[in-house]
Amino acid sequence: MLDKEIQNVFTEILNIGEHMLRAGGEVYRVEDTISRLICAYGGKKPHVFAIPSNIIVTATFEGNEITHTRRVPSAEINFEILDRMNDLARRVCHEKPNAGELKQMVENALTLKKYGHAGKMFIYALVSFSFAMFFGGSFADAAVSAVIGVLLYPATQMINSQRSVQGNIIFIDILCAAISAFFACLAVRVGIAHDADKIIIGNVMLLIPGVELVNGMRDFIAGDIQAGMMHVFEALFLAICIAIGAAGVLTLMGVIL
Amino acid sequence: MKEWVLPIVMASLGSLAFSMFFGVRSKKLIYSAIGGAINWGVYLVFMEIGVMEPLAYAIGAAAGTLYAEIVARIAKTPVTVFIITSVIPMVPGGSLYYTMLGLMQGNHEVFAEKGAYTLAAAGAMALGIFTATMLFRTTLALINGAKRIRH
Repeated sequence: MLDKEIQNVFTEILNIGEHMLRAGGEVYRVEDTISRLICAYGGKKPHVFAIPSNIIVTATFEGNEITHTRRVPSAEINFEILDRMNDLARRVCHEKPNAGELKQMVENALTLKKYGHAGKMFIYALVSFSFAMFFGGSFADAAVSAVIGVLLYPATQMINSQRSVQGNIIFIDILCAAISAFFACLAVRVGIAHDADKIIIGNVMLLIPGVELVNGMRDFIAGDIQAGMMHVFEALFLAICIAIGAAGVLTLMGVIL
Repeated sequence: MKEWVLPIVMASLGSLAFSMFFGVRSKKLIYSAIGGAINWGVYLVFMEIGVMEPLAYAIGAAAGTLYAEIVARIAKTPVTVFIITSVIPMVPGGSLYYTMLGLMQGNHEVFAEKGAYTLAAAGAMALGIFTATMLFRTTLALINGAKRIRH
């Protein structure tokens, strides 16, 4: 039987891996980090397998095999957490703190300053504005896109607070694309803006699964075909959802006709 | 020259905004902004000298990736942070939107044209990232190997 200390350290190592994976880390990085941590604590033969939704780890400690599985919930991209976990793992490999300290270190890394509601709204506006203009919209189009971007933040928050659809990114994407298309058409009808498409594209960039697409491609490069397929397929599927939301409303509003 | 300024500034601002969107704080935001500008600037330069568009896309993405790999080592941050934020102006959001619109309109000509463009752009982007990563890592390994032999 393994002692409690090693069990606890093992759990914390998996926690680090899980946080990295959720924050937007690549699969090969997560597998590599977990293997290194296990070796640092004297584990032998670490076998780590990760895909975006699951981590399986087996290692031998003092002649005893130990296996943990972890179901990883859908991603919540936060590069600051990814960076901190990466740093933490590097430090832990040198210092080898005991289980209690390690737990404290992981918790410390997770308590970080996040952007508040006002900050988030500003970010939504900034992303919408810059991409509406980048894709060839006029200043008025970009400004309208920014205003709609501000509206989209409370919309996503409201959907997230509903228990029945909590964290359902498909629902959020369809609805946000629809809201964006609706207000863009309205703005063009009223005569504030000229090109509804450019406004919508600015907002769509907020929803587009860029991390999934790029990380999926990089998974393929690293040889993790399974993880790559999951990422790329998720990106494609979400892109279709966004298009359904936007194009559906556009059709209804009669802009297409 | 003047018509280049706006897209590059907007690409840079977009990269900055996107890294904020993904929770990045501190001076890493500036690295991302520079990455976006390099990415789109290189693309525009290669378009100007008459390279085919998908190839210019690949070269732009490769330049962004190369920059990201270098900056990641300076900032001691996972490289994916800078690759994604630098390459984000290349994600074919606009043409993807027109593709789907074409499909919904029943306008198959637009669908086929924009769809092919989107696929080519995404593929070229992937190719650029792939090539740059491989070249950079191989070069780094060779340099490290040479150092080890000398010592």
